[in-house]
Amino acid sequence: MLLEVKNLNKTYHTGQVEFKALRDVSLSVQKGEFTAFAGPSGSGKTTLLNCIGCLDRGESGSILLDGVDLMAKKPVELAHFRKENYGFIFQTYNLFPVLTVAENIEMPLKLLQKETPEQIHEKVMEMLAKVGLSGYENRRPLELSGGQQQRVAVARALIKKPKLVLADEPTANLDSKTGEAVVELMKELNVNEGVTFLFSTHDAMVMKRASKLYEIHDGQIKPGRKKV
Amino acid sequence: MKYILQLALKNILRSKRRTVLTFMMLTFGVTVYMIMSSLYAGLDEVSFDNLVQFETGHVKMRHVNFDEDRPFSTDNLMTQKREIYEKIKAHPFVRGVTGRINLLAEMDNGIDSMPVVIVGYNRQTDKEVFELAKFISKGQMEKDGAVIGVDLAKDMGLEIGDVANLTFRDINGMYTALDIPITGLLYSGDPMANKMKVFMDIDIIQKSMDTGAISEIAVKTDNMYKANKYAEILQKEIPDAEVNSWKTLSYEFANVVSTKKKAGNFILLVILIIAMVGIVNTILISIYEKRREIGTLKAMGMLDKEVRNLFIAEGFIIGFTGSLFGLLFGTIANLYFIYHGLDFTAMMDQMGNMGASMVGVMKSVWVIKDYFVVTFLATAASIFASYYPAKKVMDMQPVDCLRTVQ
Repeated sequence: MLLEVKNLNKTYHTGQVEFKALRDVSLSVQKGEFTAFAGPSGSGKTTLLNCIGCLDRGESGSILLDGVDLMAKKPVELAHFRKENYGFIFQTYNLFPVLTVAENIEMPLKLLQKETPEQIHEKVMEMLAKVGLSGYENRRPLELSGGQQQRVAVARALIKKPKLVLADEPTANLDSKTGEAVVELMKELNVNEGVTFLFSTHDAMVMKRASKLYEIHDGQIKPGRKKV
Repeated sequence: MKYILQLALKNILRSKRRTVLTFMMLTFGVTVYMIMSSLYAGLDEVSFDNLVQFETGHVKMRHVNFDEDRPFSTDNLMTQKREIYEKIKAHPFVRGVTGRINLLAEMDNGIDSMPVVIVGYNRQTDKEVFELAKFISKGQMEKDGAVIGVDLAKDMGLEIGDVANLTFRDINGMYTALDIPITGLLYSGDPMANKMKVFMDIDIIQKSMDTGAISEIAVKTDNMYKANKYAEILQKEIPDAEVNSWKTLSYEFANVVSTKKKAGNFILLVILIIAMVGIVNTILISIYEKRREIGTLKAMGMLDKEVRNLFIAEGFIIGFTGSLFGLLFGTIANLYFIYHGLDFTAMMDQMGNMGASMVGVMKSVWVIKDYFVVTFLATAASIFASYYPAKKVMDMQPVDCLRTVQ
């Protein structure tokens, strides 16, 4: 078992108003799975991904990644944990416009400070080839199409071979054809490289490609709608 | 750290216009400071040189009971002893020795009279210590003539060739009078000298006063900046005289210099504060604009303090390069002021010499210390200014940053 979430609760407080974003959410993800959360806007998909990705904290429950209890960790420890174990793909790509494609992709490795510049360069070129962007290494993100930018984001998320890649609606900003291509790429990497993906979506096409689907509604995983 | 600096540099270059504005503010401030500091230093150097060459020499000896309140009293006169001169000259650092006599007199042009100070100088030895000739704007020094201040000549309506009558008391308190032709006009950096001083051959004065005594012995050494040390050496050997260096004698002027330096430091402080406000503003806007990027960095595992350091590094780069460019432009501007100089003659004629003892064209001098001080202060101030906004980044939650709509 790679990921195990048990009875996770999360409430947002806005002044006097309370909003329960997650209610006793429990789920599990095996290594190498291509898992999706589906649900309407405001259902809690992003909150769940953020809690799993240590970007946000739940109030109660537990999140175990590879046996490590994330709820017990301090913020600094969580930052280190994210650096080592997670890859993130965002809906709006979140690439750094001042950096080239290669510089964006190499950033997680630079932050890890474990490899030489030569090794990093080699890995970047390899990853660019995998996402079909060879020759684009010196371009800036704004010189690329949306689909290409998301491919760069995928490459950035995978370059350090993380245990888990979290993708928050990775196709939401793309047209259907480009979105399909990006999902196809993620699926390929999942199958060929054994990368574990966990992503949120409300795109029916993306849901079809998921090896496991959790439907979320009002902060709860819908009973009986779990499919393998 | 290297990677953070690289990222910071790229971030700075992203908002070129804003960066350039902050940068220019700092560069302009540093440039202005460099020019002013060099001008002040040049002014001080020339002023001290003039003071030494005209009035104090490197070391001056006076009567051991010299009365500052009655500087022209005959009680202050001391006997010229050959052995004292020989003792002084025996030192290898001594380049010249001369004696002068100063006394109060009344100058009469037949219509008006004015109090003046007569300075009796030795025509042979005075030039070993002083550079009186440098300050003569018209005419020359002659054995039987007097050189008087330009303002005194103007007030008394005297010109070269005219004869002035000088009345003063001799050593016995008896009045004596001299008719002396004006052979030269003196223009020094000291307005009192221009208005009151009359330079004459010491032999004529001593003969009229019926004395061989002098008011002071002035010494020129091999290095004016070692004058304090030399004064101490001479004082030990000649205990019956009061020995002072030019630095001690010019303490009032040194106070003016010190005040000017404080004013210069205040200008630097104002410049730094303005630059700091600009940098705080730049970094705050930069943080606001990059909220989502900050969230992405934190999501990728960059530590809070590393993200903070990224923005401090932006401030550092702006401060450091801004001050370097300021130094560059300041140096270029100073090349003109150092090798060409500024002619203040017309302005000083109208406004006085503003506390400086200088004549004509003033040239700046290099102040090497400024290069280090300004770079350090501007950089440190920039880091300090960027610390507060950068610290805000540490409190930002990655999830909040990522939610930002931009």
